[in-house]
Amino acid sequence: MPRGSGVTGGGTEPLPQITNSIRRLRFDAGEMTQKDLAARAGVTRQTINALEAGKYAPTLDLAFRIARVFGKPLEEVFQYDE
Amino acid sequence: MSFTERSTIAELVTSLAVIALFTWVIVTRQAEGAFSGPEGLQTWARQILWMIPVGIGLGIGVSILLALAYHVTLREAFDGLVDERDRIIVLFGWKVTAITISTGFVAALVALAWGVTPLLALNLMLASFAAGDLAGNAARLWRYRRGY
Repeated sequence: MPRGSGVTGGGTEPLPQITNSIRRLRFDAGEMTQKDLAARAGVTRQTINALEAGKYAPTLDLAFRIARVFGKPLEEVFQYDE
Repeated sequence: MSFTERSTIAELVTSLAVIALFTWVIVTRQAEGAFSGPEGLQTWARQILWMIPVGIGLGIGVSILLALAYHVTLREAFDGLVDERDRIIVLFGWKVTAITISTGFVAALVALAWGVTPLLALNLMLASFAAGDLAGNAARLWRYRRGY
């Protein structure tokens, strides 16, 4: 399964990468747009874009909200690569 | 472009305009000798106190105008949404602002200790606030441009 780009959480310390499958899940959900997902998760489209590009790691709250939009468990949307 | 990114650009433009106005007024008044003499510092303080609300009012007015211009030009609905990423970026901007102002304050104290006039030290402090505002907004814009 292809995974999205990773992000280290914004700090300078070497953290394990958090990756996500948002792009694939959007495609599987009838090519849901970033704008639609953003509206349903209560964030801006730019934040969804940053997540997919692996530039931003979401808070636990947002991660759960995105997972609920897709009706998937959290670990199917976000992965923690050690 | 998100609401807060647009706001950052508007604030940056507004800050530049307000700083230019402040600089022009202070330089002009200084050239007139308004800040000289035993009551010079009081005059300076009154001048700045008068300019602060003007600057805030100007800032609000320009921000509203730029927001209206954006929505009229691009015909995008006004959402005003601020999410967690925006809040983190805004906090980062505040951090840069605080560091810049603190550095300017210390620089003004050092300058005062080295014998510059109190008026020049006060102007240095005022300049550090202006620089802090610009640096904070520029830092926010940089974080938005790179994605986070």
